[in-house]
Amino acid sequence: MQRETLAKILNLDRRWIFLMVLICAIGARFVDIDMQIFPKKTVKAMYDSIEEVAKNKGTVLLSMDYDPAAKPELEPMSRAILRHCFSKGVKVIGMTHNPHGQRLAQTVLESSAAEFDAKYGEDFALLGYKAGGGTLVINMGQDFRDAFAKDFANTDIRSLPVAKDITSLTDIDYVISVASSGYWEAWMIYGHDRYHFKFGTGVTGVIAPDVFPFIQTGQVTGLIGGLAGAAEYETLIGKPGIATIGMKPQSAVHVLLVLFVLFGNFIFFWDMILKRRQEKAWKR
Amino acid sequence: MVLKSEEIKDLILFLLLVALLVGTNIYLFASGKLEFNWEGIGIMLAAGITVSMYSFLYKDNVLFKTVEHLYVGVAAGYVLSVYWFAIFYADLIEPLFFPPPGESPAWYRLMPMLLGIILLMRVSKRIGWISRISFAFIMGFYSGIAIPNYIQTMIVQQLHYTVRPLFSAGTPFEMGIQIAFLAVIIIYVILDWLWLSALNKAWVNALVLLPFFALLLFGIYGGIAGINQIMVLVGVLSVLVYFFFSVEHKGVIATTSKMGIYFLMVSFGASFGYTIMARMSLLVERLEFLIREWLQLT
Amino acid sequence: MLFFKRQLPLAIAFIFGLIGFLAQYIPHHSFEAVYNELISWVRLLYAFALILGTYSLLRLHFKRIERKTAGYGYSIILWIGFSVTFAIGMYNEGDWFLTGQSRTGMLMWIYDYIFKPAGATMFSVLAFFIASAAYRTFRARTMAAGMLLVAAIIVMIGRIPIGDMISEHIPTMAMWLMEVPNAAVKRGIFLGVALGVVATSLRIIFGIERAYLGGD
Repeated sequence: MQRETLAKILNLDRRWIFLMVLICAIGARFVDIDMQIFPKKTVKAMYDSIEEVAKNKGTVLLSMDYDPAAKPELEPMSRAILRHCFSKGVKVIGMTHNPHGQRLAQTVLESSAAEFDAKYGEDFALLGYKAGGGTLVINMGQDFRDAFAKDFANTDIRSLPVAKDITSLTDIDYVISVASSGYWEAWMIYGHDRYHFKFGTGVTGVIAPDVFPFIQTGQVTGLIGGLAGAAEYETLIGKPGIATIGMKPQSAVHVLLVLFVLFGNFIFFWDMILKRRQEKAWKR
Repeated sequence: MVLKSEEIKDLILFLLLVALLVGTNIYLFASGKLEFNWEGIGIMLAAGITVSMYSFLYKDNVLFKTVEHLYVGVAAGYVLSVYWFAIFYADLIEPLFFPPPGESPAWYRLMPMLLGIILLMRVSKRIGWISRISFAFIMGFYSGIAIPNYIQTMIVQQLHYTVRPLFSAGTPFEMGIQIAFLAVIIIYVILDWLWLSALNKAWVNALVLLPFFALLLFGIYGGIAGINQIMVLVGVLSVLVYFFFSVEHKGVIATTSKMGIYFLMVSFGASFGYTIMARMSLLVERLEFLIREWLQLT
Repeated sequence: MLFFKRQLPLAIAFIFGLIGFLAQYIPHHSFEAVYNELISWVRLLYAFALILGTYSLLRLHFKRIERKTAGYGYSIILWIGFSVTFAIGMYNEGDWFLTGQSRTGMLMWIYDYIFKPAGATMFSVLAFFIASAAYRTFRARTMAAGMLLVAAIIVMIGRIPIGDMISEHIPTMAMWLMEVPNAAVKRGIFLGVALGVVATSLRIIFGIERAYLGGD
């Protein structure tokens, strides 16, 4: 093949590539193929931790620290965690560090609770949003009621059975931060190592690689990484949802991208070989 | 105004897109798939916003820019509302001026309110300097609490895990594998320092590293934990050496630094794989919304 | 005047930095009470600082409208979006702004059907650009780049169900890559970051670092 042809292939208008991705993602959605999902040990660690909390009829603090930009990845894992908690009778206190996330936290908490007839105030509560990041975590650790005197609807938390006995983060059995940026770090740095509560996190795929050093040291118990992690958690609780449905198009697009990389490199190296042959021919 | 053929093509495509959107929505409402209530109108609007944003993939256009600016404005309005109710009203105004019956006003909240107002003076060119007091308080205090927390979490705990017995207990064969693995790494460092880096031949490097990869694979699939511990120690040290620019990277330092680069490349590759997964997930969910909630094809 | 503009802020940073640091080591209840109160103050001040960001954005677009720069029509749309949303937020379904926020209503509708889809879609556009970059620019020109690509491919295939369908070794290898070399590298990076944070914090407390004060 001539080098000009290879150059045309290499410099294909990117809009054709966009179209291929779109067709691949939409097409895969309608393909009937059974995909078995095998949960990884980091996801199982979070599942086991909640099972342990359920045995002791404890309380989970779920901090939904994400905004609409990360919702596609993180809401499925929040929902799966909440379904697990409510199905086992674990009490849930929801909150968020992200001002754009309060409504998202409210929606997912209320809709998950409705599936299990969980009652607001007795089985779950939503504290809402407060600013502060690390200082909020410390405030909650030092004096929980000073940080959150009322819930997001302005009800005194002392009147909520699920939260009235909580005076500090040490009273929480398991804290989970579902986060799209550095909020999980704030929980770990200013919370876990000071107040010694069990801590797990669900993060976007971009952040997940950063969490692994802390899993090894035991600072983080349980990690759900990205939509694939959410699909694994849905498998563990036996309730496939949006994440599981999303695995088909996700898999298809991943394969397409790998093919793009391999094909692009193949054409590149072919062009390089032709170029060297040309240069050798000119030298003669 | 005379349009070029490219611009005419773009205009036709743009009008086709708008017509397609309008037509689809009319069909969905007429067929009863979307109900003509606030929810139905909302789904129509959300789908329109989604498709308008994706139109940017063809070319930047009026629809995309309009939706983009609307989004930023709505975000600012929403977030200010949340700040007011969640923080200013709940933590300042209500405890100070509308305390619950039987409780006295929280006068101690006057100080942060005053500091906050001083902080807002930043916007004034004339007296903006006074906001330095509030910023100094925030920065100073936060710096103070950061030091012990970062040392404990990021340094002490992480070093504690890294500096552990290198070899895990096991059969003499497993111990032999672990010792051989460490020896291969040390030999590679010495060879690279004395000979390989000057030779600069990739195939010779690969040949010398073959025992390393063989032992590594054996260790992973054989379940020898010491192999991973050695890898972690070598990885951490070599990355730290790579980022230490106060010493010239020559000799053994250069070789260790090169090893650090290889570790970094593997880590960045893994992070890149996860990043691709993250971005694709966002696309998958938006398409799911269009297919399931708007078009109701499933 | 220079005292109020420079010395006083630096003194405040030093005193409260010291208090913040020592508070981790002094368990006495009086000191803890002071510490708890100061933590609340910092938390509340964050909200004021966040307002400054929003103010900057709105001011920028207001200036564009004032000067009628190119594309100022979009700035008008931004201001309309902001004004309508904020007004509806303060109206609070008729209860106005001196009570708790309503859990339902028009503000939530705007959030669910304008803000949420726009925010989610904005970042999903990146998926297409990554695909384009994968085809056009990801080249294994050097051994290091090749290692990066191989690791990326193993993780990409290993994290999805297809990886398990092809071979059980792929997810195992992907997990090992994350747990060992990736964790080692991140650990090294975090150690450096932590040292940097400690160094910068000390510089702020001792007044060597003054960029946060702004210009004279």
